[in-house]
Amino acid sequence: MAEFDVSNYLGVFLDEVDEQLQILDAEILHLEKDPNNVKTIENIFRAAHTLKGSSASMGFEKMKECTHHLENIFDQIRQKKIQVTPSLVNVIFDCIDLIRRMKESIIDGTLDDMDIQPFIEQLEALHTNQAIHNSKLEQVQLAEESKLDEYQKDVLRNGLTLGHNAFEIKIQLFKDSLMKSVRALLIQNAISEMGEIIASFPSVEVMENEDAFQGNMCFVVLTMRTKEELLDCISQLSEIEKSSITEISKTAIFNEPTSPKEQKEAEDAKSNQKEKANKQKKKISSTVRVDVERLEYLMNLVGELVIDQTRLVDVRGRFSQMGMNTEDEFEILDDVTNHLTRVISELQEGMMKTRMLPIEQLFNRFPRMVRDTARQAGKEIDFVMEGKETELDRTLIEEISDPIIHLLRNAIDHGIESPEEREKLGKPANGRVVLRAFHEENHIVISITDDGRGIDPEKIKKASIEKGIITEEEARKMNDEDAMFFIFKSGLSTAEKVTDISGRGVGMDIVKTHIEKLNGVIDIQSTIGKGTTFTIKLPLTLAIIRSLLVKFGNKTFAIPLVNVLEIIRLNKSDIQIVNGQEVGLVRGRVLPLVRMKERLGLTTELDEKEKKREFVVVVGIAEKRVGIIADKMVGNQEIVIKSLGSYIGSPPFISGATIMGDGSIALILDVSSVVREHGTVLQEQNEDGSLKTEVNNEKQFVTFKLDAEEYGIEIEKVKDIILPPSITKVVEAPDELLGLMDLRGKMLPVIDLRKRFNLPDVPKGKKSRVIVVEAEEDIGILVDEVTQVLKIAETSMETPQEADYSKLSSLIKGISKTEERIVLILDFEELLKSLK
Amino acid sequence: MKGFDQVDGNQFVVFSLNEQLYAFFIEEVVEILRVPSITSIPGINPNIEGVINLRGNIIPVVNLHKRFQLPTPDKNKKNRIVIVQGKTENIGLLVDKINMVTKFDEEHVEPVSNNQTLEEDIVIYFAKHKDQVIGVLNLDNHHVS
Repeated sequence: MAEFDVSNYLGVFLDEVDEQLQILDAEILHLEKDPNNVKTIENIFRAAHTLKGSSASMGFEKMKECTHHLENIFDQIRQKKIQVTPSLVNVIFDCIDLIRRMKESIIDGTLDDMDIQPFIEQLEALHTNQAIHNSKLEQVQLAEESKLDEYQKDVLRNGLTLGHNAFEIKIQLFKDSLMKSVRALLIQNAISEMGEIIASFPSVEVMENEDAFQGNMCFVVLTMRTKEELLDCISQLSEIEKSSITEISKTAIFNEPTSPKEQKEAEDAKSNQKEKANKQKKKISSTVRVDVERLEYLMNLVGELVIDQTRLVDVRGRFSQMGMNTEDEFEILDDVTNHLTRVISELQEGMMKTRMLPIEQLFNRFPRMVRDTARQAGKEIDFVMEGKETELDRTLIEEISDPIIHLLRNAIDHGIESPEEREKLGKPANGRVVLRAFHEENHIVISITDDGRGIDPEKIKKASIEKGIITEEEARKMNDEDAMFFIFKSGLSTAEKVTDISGRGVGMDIVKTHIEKLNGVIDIQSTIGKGTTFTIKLPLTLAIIRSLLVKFGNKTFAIPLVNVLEIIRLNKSDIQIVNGQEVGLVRGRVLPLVRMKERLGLTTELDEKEKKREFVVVVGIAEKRVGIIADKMVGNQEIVIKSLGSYIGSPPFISGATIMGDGSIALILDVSSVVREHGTVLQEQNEDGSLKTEVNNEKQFVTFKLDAEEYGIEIEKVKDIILPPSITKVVEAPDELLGLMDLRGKMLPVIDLRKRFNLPDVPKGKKSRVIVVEAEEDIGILVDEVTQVLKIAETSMETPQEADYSKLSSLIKGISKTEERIVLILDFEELLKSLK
Repeated sequence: MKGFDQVDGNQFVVFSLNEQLYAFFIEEVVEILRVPSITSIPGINPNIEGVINLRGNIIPVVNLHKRFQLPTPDKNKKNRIVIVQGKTENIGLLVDKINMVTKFDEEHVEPVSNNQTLEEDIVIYFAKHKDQVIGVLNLDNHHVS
């Protein structure tokens, strides 16, 4: 009983304090809006009370005192003795902050150094009713409170379920009684004859110490006897000033012990309250607090399993290649492997889920912060949070907090205009800031949107030039999107004035660093006058990640999929050299390219075949983008990140290793270092002004074959290219209409272009395809073969001469001659018209 | 570093590099493997051959030939990797072949004299065994410089 070691519970206690403080924050904000909401007040009161109870039981006197005063305030609010005013709310918030600081100092072990007196006085000043004071004093005098630890509660619970009664016996000896310790011992003996003493307060050691023992005691007893019998027994003992016995109901054990004052004051009210509280408790599913390290350990084991499982699948695959499918044993292996795969993936998911917490925990800190920031900045903000229930890894929750805080502050301070300005602009006076979280495949996306003034790229350019980050020349060439990313540069701020909240230009740098650290990507969308959206994309977890496997030379590398934005194939002609750096043209934007194989110093024994096209993996970290040229795409796979160990250290561009299905080791590419080294080239883009114009004049066409001729159709018109599906014939349809096909639930007409062009009928071949073309009503056209996507400069196109193509000429809008190939460009609108 | 008195009664794993014999204290050796496929890592110390997958753990492998500036001979069936306990992690050492596990008599072992400069920090004792001299390696220091 006496050896209740608090240090074991410190972690639990701190967690609880966190939780309760968050509840307080949230509920007080509610209270400010709706001061008369009884439920809110009840919640606040309960949280404050829990705080008081647990800090007292942990022996943190100062915290107890502080929370106790706070509780008194809430009590008065509850009894409608004081009004909820903004100034009161501010004082309460200050007090909550103080408790938070106390929590920190408990961790540092410096709690005793804290000076809480000013706050206590401040709180006392709010007491309008002297009576509370008195009752408070009385409370101090009253008997010891009973605080049970988990073990004792457990014993009680068990006892109760076995049909025992549990009582809390409070006894106060005469003040002038001599030999209090002996009395106490007698009492204890008497009670223990009646039943089992689960706990005694103060501890037996204190009771035995004549000097320390004040004559107040409290026992928690488990007995088969009734309350009356106990009362009888106690009344036979002498020198007892007063005694009280309260029955402890089963439900009460789950609640924090209440102080005796309240027990007496509100016996009736309490039972109601407890019932309510009980109902609430029941809703919360039972939980176990687990040490994070244990979870980490289990997670590692699951990681090992995942590796073995991929190996097993690999072996199975090799068996089947060897043509052993027919044998029974193989079938069993097949079964087992499949089942194992399923179980392991579920295990992995489950493990991951245990590490996941709803982002609510994090989000709940923000309303308070937004309120404070808005107040400071003199702005009115409607703050909306969506997707609170979105779950993510607990390590991520900690890490992502700072970036979000910065982005929110920025949104409020810079983004949202002052109420007057907003009204002038015809916007509602209250600015709107939306914080959203949602899942997208294996990522979590967090977006922060404001409806403020937006980011002005010109301003950023100006500021960047002033800071000497770029030259005026460069700024002129830069497009707005790229300019926007400059806000992530340290020291750059477009705010006209530095305020208390932001404007020093470091915040965004912090945001960027944090997100980079988490392998995340950040994106900005902003319209001047309409507002800004920041989008952060993060991996769900850090230990097991999905990755893209590529080959550089003959080595397999894994690139974290969260960083992969797209995979493209670039023609040699699209790769140019700017400032000694290879860049690729992707949809009109210039992308720096890295030949990773050369960069890593890998040599291939195979003599290099000159490839016409290169695989380019476009990767991004935070705001930067780089194209990595790879030799081969292997596929994507779940990988477990393993460190290379301190012996090897951290080689350039490699962040770790992973074990593949066949037992071999693949290295994990450190995207952030690649991007850091090469991503900076972005700002030098468009050096050659002609690049862009050239791109603009080029058009892409999907080319296909019909008989010997090659035709082209604008790529924008093409929705999909599919293998010919089964086609349902339509009665009394024109010749060229083959029938209807089903494309993902939509019925589309399919046209046989051969018939339309009066070409001889041929059976569908292996290469036959249906091109789905976008029109008012999507339409499929059956062609012999789809050849490629061709880029044709508008200048190299000729208009057809009527004579050559007779009847069809109206359908052909151009002819392109490239390297002895003739491609006829179809005028699709005309074609459609002619069909009708 | 092992004290001199520990030599007596202790077993040693004796291996060869270019016909020269060396030995480890047996308690420093975790296990001995046939050479699996080694994944090289670009951009690291050239003495490190690469990493291997040892039952799900990634273990770096040091090429002792390169470390001792000896010519690297062709691969051989008898090549082995000796896994030893490093300071923070296990490390694999590539050797030509494992010769034996043996005990040395105390009178046949002598510490390396101080005026021997070259491999002073690597070899701590010389032991005579059947007319051959075996260098006992000091694992604490022999890590790649």
